[in-house]
Order: sequence, then structure tokens, then C-alpha cells
Amino acid sequence: MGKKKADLLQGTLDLLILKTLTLEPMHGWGISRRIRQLSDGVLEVGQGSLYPALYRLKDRGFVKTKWAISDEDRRVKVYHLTRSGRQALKAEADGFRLFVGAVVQILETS
Amino acid sequence: MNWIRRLVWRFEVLFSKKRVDQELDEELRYHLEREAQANVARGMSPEAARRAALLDFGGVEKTKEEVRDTRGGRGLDDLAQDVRYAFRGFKRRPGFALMAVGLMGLGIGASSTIYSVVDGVLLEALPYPDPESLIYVDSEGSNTYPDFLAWQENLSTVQDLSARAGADGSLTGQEGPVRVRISLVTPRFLALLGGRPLFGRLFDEEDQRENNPVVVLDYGFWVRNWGADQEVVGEQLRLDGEPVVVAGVLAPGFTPPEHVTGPEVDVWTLFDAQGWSAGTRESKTLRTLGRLKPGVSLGVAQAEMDALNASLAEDFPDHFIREDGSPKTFPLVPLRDATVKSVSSTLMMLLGAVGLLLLIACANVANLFLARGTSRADELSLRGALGASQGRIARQLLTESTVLATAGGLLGVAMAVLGVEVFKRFGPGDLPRLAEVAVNPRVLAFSLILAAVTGILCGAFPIAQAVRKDLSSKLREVPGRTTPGRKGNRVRDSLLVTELALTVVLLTGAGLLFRSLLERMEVDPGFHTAERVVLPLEVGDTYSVEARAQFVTDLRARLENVPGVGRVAASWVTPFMFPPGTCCWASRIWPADSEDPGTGKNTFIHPVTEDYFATLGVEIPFGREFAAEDFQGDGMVAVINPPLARRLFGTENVAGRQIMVGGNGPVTVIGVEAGHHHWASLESEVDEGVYVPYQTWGSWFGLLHVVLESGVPLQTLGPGLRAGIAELDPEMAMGELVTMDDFVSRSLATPRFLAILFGSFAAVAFLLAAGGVYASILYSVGQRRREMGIRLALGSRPNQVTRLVLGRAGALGVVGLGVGVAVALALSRLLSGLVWGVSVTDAGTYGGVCVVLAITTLTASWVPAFRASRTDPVETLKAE
Repeated sequence: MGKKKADLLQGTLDLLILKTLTLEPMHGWGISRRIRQLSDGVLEVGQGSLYPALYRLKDRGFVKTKWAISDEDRRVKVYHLTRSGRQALKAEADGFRLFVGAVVQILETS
Repeated sequence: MNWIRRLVWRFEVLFSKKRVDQELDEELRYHLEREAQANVARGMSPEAARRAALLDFGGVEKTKEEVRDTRGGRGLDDLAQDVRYAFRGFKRRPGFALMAVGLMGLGIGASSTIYSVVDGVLLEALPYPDPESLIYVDSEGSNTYPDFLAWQENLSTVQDLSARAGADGSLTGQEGPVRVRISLVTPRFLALLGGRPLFGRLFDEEDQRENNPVVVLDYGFWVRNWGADQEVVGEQLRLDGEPVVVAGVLAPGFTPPEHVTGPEVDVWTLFDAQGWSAGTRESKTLRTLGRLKPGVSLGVAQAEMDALNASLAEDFPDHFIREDGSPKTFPLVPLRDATVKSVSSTLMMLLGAVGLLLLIACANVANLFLARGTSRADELSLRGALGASQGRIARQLLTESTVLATAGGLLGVAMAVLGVEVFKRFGPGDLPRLAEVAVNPRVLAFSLILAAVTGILCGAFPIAQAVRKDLSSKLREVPGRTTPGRKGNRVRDSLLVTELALTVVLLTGAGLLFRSLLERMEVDPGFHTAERVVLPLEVGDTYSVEARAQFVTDLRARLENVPGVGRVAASWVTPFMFPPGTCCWASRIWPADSEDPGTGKNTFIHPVTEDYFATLGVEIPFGREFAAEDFQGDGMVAVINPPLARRLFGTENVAGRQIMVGGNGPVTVIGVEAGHHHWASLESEVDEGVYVPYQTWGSWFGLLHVVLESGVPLQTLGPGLRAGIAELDPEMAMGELVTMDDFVSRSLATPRFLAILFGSFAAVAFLLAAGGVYASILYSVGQRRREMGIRLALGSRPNQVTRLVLGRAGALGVVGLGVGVAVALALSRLLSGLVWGVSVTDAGTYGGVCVVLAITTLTASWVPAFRASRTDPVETLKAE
């Protein structure tokens, strides 16, 4: 684990989770692994923050849960993106791009 | 759909918390295992992998707690916990909870009761279709039929203009005669107010054109007297001896317009548009109402009315122009205002008074909360030290007060339901719309809002107290060990001052009302009220003028023979039957040797029989009373009263002088009576009056009240009188017998009721204030026990300690009384309409209230003060 890791910006975790779930419904551990993979190990989602985030998203109605059977025959809770979750993702992603663009622009101004 | 899902989830969290927690557990366990497996796959030993995963996880419990925070429903969860906690606390100290709930219940119950009355009487819409457009023509009493016709034909802005005259009479069916309250109305009257027939029909225009003798029966009257027999429709009955046919029965639930008809009407019949009364502007018997046409404002209608009356004034100047030359106006008033205007200020004042009572109760409860808050300061600081945020503690305290206030509110609603019944039973009979008063949803909402406000207000003090101080200082402060800071005391002191001040306001109000009741009771009505009984009769239109005169003569002779009856006399109207200026015949009176004044004050004319003054026990200081010979011949004799004598001749000794009564005369004044009160009001000056022989002047009109000298109980007297009347006229129903004492007492019903109601508010306020002072001083002494102990140990004499406590109480008392007197004086104007015979700033009342409250305050503080001075210093100091 010699790679450099980045801290998650406040608020971006929700965005990442929602994005991850656009591909397919996943259980908690799957989400954390997928984020790590997609970011080439740069983003490590501290699981202590993953579950609170998942429950927060559920309370807001952005994800829904279903029980399913995993590959190794275990009962697991699988998170699905809801329609309003999809809308929220779009809105937040746009906002985030705007934000990052602005930050990058400032950083590259010399 | 999203919100449904979210709602379901919230419910799951709230009600299946255990399952939700288990599922979280399961999820986390799975996560840990997978993480460990992944680590093993990367080459770690299983133990190390598991440890790494756990480390990575950052503490399972912490995550669970965080999940609980974020998953929603936390607020509700906490609330449930707080409520449980509050109940546990109350169970530990039931005295506090009971006291607080009782006080709030009392305050809310009393307020809700009065609010119910205000709501039913003032706020609730009248029970008629489109009630806002109904208007009443205010003609300072009654108007004439020709006026009514002129308005009805010419007003383009008002529709369905209708009028009503009233009478009592006898209705005879198969069984004997029944005394009934009759309303004689124009054809559209009932339809205007949305009346519908249950059976048969109501009146129509043809009935009036054809002069059909039809009646419509009130539902309740029909049920009472016909046992709800439908066959009554079409049945022939006799009303005051005249045959009438029942056209229909009104559907239940029709409320007569009280201001126009009185609260109850048994029989509706048509106003006789061809009769004598209908053809003259001398006879004012009608009350008129109508409906504004759609889109017409009151102002526009009034302008049309004024213009119409101005043109009528050209033809009938006496009638439409006042004594002072100004045109007589007939204001159009919304029917609701006309109905309740007389009582609205009184009711609002009562509401204000009961509001003060509620504030006093609240101040007491707040004081209780404060005392409790101080004694559990250590508990709260401990919770703070353990990490509870100030917001969390505030919420806990607020929950407690809300739970108590909710209980108080429920108790209050129960008390209001009871209170409304009591109010309806014992309230003044002349309060309009009293029957409609009930605890309705608006009242419930009112009570609950009161409860919520009370809860928040009472909770606010301990919260301010708990949040203000920082934790460390609070932990250092052990109750009873340090003398509390001035800040905490200041809140309690100002509550106490407020309580005393409000009590002063209520007590002075009650004092003034009681004094003016006593003043009224002191007034001599000018006749003997004891052992005098009034018997109302209606000598109907089957009697000719002569026959009626003969009947009255025979009646007196017959009733004098009834056992237990002394003298008997009769008149249209006996004293204390009607409020000032309301019945029945008034005309201009002037000395016979001077000119007709043209316009001038109208004086009421009272036709009476022989022995009238003797039977009532009224003295005749000048001249003599009517004698038998006055009733023969032309009857041009009169007895007048002192105010009229003074106005006409400037002196009271005017026996033998001659006057003109209306156009009639000259009439010789044979006597001047002592000046008794004729109207049902002890508080107004004796009104001018002229008394003339009934047989000559009064027998054209059927109204008759017989006054009998008799000390026999009414139920014994009744059958004898009824038998006597039946001998003369088997179809004449007897009105309800009433003693003169009762009549006079009834005229005081409203002031008496107000005095009692206000007095009970004040009494409760007084007890609350006394209790409040006692509890507050007792508490503050308790807080300073150690200080007292030290003072005594250092050589203070017990007296000095007592004086220390009493001094503080005295200072608070002086401020409270001062503020209270100032507020009471400022508000005293509101009472001016109700207080009579004393000034609203009566020094005696204010002084008396202050003395009583000062003594009470000192007495209530003396007990704790005395106990403080007996503190054993050794024991107090050892008690650490």
C-alpha cells in the first residue's frame, strides 16, 4: 500500500456512491471495493464513513435496499439507485464539475 | 413515490428499531469478513488481516452510532426517549407534576369556558343562509307598519324586508288553553331566515292578501304539546279565541332571530295587515329585518334608506324628525351585531379577566418549574458534563413542560365542558345565543394552543436557567450550600411581582363589581316587592273594547275571592316587566293651559285599574289614588309621577292641575305618586310616567298583567287563580306566575352573575397568589439555609433573620401592589359600562384590595421567615 491516498472532500462521498451504483446494484463492501478500483487505489473509502453515508442516502430516498444472495451464498443487503437518486447524482455531478473546474482554474493561474 | 418510501423507512426505524439494528450488524459483519478475506488474499496472516480490517473499520460501535445519527428518525427517537424520561421524573416527584397539571388545567379550563361562550355568542355565524347579508333596521325599539311598507316598496338595495310583532296568547286545541309566545310576521319572514316546513307549509303572500287565519308551529312546541303528531297539520285551533288553522310545523333546528323575536317562539302567525295597528304611525310594534341584495354594501343601502326617510319626513315630520330638529335615522345594522352588540364588550372583558387568571396560574407553574430546575441543576450539569449538548438538555426540559402542558390541556378541556354547562345553567338569562354555546372544534383548538403556549412559556424559564450558566460553575454550586446568585432570584422575583400585580387587577375589578351590585340592591324600587304576585294574561281580539273593560272589572272581583289573595289590580304592564322605554304607549304631555309643544319628549302612558297603587304599596304624597267613580264617565283623570310633575309645572304638588295627554284632555291630575321604578332597571332614574284609568284608556288593547297581594306559595295559589279565570273565560290560558321579588331580582341577574364570576376568578387568583408567595419565599429561604445558619452562628438574633426575609417579601409586595394598582387604574375604563354607583377608581376598593393583599403577602412569608429564624446553625452546618 505504498500508493499515495487522497482524503475525500466533504460531500463527495455521496456523489461517489451514487455514481458507483449507476453501473449495477451493489452491497456495501462491493461499493467500497469498486471506488478503490476505479480510483486506482487513490480513494480509500473509510468504511466507518461508508455506512453512515449509505443510511443517509437511504433516508433521503436516493437509494433503496433489497436483500439478495451473494456469490458465496450469503444473505447480503444490496443497494439500488432510485430515480430521485439518479436525478440527485446528475445535479451533484454538475455542481462538482463546476467546483473542480473553478479550483483547477485558480490553481493553474500563476 | 419517493416520499412514501422515505416515510416507510422512517416508520421502520422508529418501530422496528431492533430489526434495523440487527440488519446493520449483519451488514457490518459481512463487510469485515470480506475485508479480512481480501487482506488474506494479499498475503496477510488471518489474524493480522482481521486486525487490520478492524482497525480500518475504526470501531464498529462508533460506526453504528454514526449510522443511527444519519439514518433519519433520530429526532423522533429522542423525543420518545425524552417523554419516557419525563414520565419517570414525574413518577419520582408526583406532587410537582400534579400541582403543575392542576394549575395549568385550572387556567386553561377557565379560559376555554369563557372562550366557548365568546365563540358561540360572538364568533359563530348566525344559523341562517348567507348570514352576513342579513340586516336589522335599528329603530330604537320598534317601528310602525306604514314605515315598514314604505321601506319594503321603495328600497331597491334590500330584499325580503320582513317584520315581526310579538304577543303572548292562549292557544286552545282539544285540551285546555296553553299559554304561547306568538310572533306575528310578514309572509316572507321565515323564508328569509331559511325556515323550512317539516310538515305542511309556511306562509305565502296569498295568506296575507286573503287574511287567512293560519299558524305555523315551532318544532319543540309541537313535540311538547302534540307529542309530534303529524295530524296536527290542517287541524283547527283557537288562538285567543279566534279560529286558526295549522298550516305547518317548522323543521327542527330553526333558531328564531333572538334580537327580533326573543329566544323562543311557540306559534308563528301572520301580522294582520288590515288591522288597526297596521294603519297608524301611532303604533310602534314591529321589528324589521331584511337581506342586502348581492353586491350591495351596507353604506349604499344606508344612503338609500336615509334618502327615503328624508322624503317621508316631508309628509310625516313628527315621525321622522327629532325634538332637536335633526332627522331621525334608522341605521341598518348587520343582524349579528344587533344581536350581540350589547354583550360583546362584557364578554371580551371576561375573556381578558380569565386571561389574567391564566397568566397567574402560568406564573405559579413557572415558579414551580424554576424551583425544580434549581434543585436538579446538579443532575443537568452532570448530563452536560457527560456530553449532552445544551440543545439536547433544552429539548429535554421542553419535552417535560410540554408533557405537563398536554395533560393540563386535557384537564382544561374536561373542565371547559363542565364549565360551559355550569355557565349555561347559572349564566344570565339575557345573554343572547347562549343555547348555541358548546365546546366545539374551535374551542378545542384554542385550548390546545393555550396548552402549547403555556408549556413553552413554563418550560422557557428553567431552560434559560439551565443554559445560562456554564457547566463548571454549576458543578461547583451545590444547592443549599452557596447562596444563589441574584440572577436566578430576579426571574423568580419578577414572576412573583407579576402574580401580585395581576391579582390586584382582578381583585379590584371584582371589588368594584360587587360594590356596584350592592349599590343597586340598595336602591328602593318605590313599591312593596314582598308578597306581590304578577299574573300575565292576554285578553284577545274576540273581546270588544267594552267587553274587555267588563272582563277586567269582573276578573278583579273574582280573583279577590280566591283564598290567600288580598288586593287585586291590573295594568297593561306591571313594574319590572320590561327594560326602559320598551313598551307600549308613549305620547306628548303638556299642561292644559299652555300650547301644544308640537314636538317634544314622549312620556309613557300606563292604563291601570282601581287600587293599582294601593296593591303595589306605592305612596301617594299629593292628592289621591284612583277611586271607583274615576272609572265611570269620561275617565279624564290621571295620576302622574314626580319627574313629569316637575317638568310640566316645576313642582311636585300639582294635584288638581290639568294636562293634555296626546290630543286628549284636559285631564285632571288627581294625584302624584311617590315615584316608583316602572322599568326593569334599578339603576336608571325614575322615568316620567302618567297613569290613567284602564277601562277608558286601555281596554282597546289585549295586554294585561294582574298584580295580586298574596303571600301564598305560587303552586298553591295557581289552581285557585286558574279556576277563577276559567269561570270567566274557559279559553284563556294563564301566564307563568312570578313574584315581584323575583322580577326585581331578575333585573339584577347580569350584574350579580358578573360579580360572582369575576369574584370567583379573583378568589382563585388570590389563592394562587398567596400560595405563590408562600412557595417562593419558602424556597428562597431553603436556598439560603446555610447563610441563615452562619448568620445565626455569628450572633444574629432570630428576629433579625425573620426581618431579613420579611423585608424582602415586603419589598416585592410593595412593587407588586404598586404595579397592580397602576395597571388596574389604566384598565378601569373598561369596567365603566358595568360599574354603577361607585367610581371605577374608587379609592376605598383599591385601598381595601391593597391592605388585604399586603397582609396576605406578609402572612404567607411569615411562616417561612419564622422557620428560617429557628434554623439550628449547628445542624445546618453539619448537614454537608
